[in-house]
Amino acid sequence: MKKYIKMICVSLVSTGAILFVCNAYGSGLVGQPQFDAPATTGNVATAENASVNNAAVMANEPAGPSAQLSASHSGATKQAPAPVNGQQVEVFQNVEAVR
Amino acid sequence: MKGEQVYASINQVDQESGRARRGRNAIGGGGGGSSAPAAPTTGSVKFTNSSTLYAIDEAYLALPSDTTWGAQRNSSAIATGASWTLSGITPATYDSAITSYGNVSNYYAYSYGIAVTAGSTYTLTASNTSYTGTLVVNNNNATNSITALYVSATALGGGANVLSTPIAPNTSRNIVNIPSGSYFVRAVHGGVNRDNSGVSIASHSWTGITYN
Repeated sequence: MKKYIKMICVSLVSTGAILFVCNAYGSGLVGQPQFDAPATTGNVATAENASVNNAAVMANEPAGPSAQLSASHSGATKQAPAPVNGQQVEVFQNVEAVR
Repeated sequence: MKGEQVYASINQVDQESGRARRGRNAIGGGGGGSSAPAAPTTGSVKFTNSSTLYAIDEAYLALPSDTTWGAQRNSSAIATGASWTLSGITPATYDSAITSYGNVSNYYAYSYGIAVTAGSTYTLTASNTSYTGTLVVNNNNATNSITALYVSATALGGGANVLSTPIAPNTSRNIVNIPSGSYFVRAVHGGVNRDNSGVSIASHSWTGITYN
């Protein structure tokens, strides 16, 4: 994809106008979202603290309150938990979002 | 109000149990009565992982007034299809965060305003689409740094500069914790604004953007 775009730009630089277009809009080359497989370094849940939902048991329990976890976050209140692997990252704070 | 309702329900159950015990005691020739169990004073939060792909590696619970998420609550990952219950929680309203590890980045999901009441279990559920995504910024230029980066859902150059330090030539930086959606991205690269629109971010995925 990168080579293809470069070829287009190179092939069109014969005129100053097109060269300007390439400079102005030849910004970052953006890819599509890539599925990120789960890391294999995490511990595996043990039988003691993980249990597969049992429909029969669940049916006998009174329905309690519930909510879905989501990617929406208030950001400014609490940062994301610290990233690992010693890699420098930036934490998007989503300051535009209204909690 | 909700807490009061839960307490009322618990008391009702206790009273019914007491009546049942008294009945059995009567059949057995009488007994000295029994005291009802003490009403519960704490609640629970159950993390249910309904994702078919991603484990919940870290789970957090904190008060809204807390400035950090505090210590990780779970001691091991919650596998796909499994659940884990954090019990003994003082009744209050809480916020929660979870982390799932990927090969390229960590991904996060949140829930706010979790009303924990005594004797009740609040269930939080994570799915494949619950998580934030990550923008991987590659500065492939050998000379120029990226001195500022703006990631905005609404406008080019919107929001704050997300970089704490410039991205040096021939290095990369991950921008984590971005909700799924389409974004405007502006990089200030060698002093020039370099703009991209429609940069897609997806749950538990990374999107690369390369500046040459």
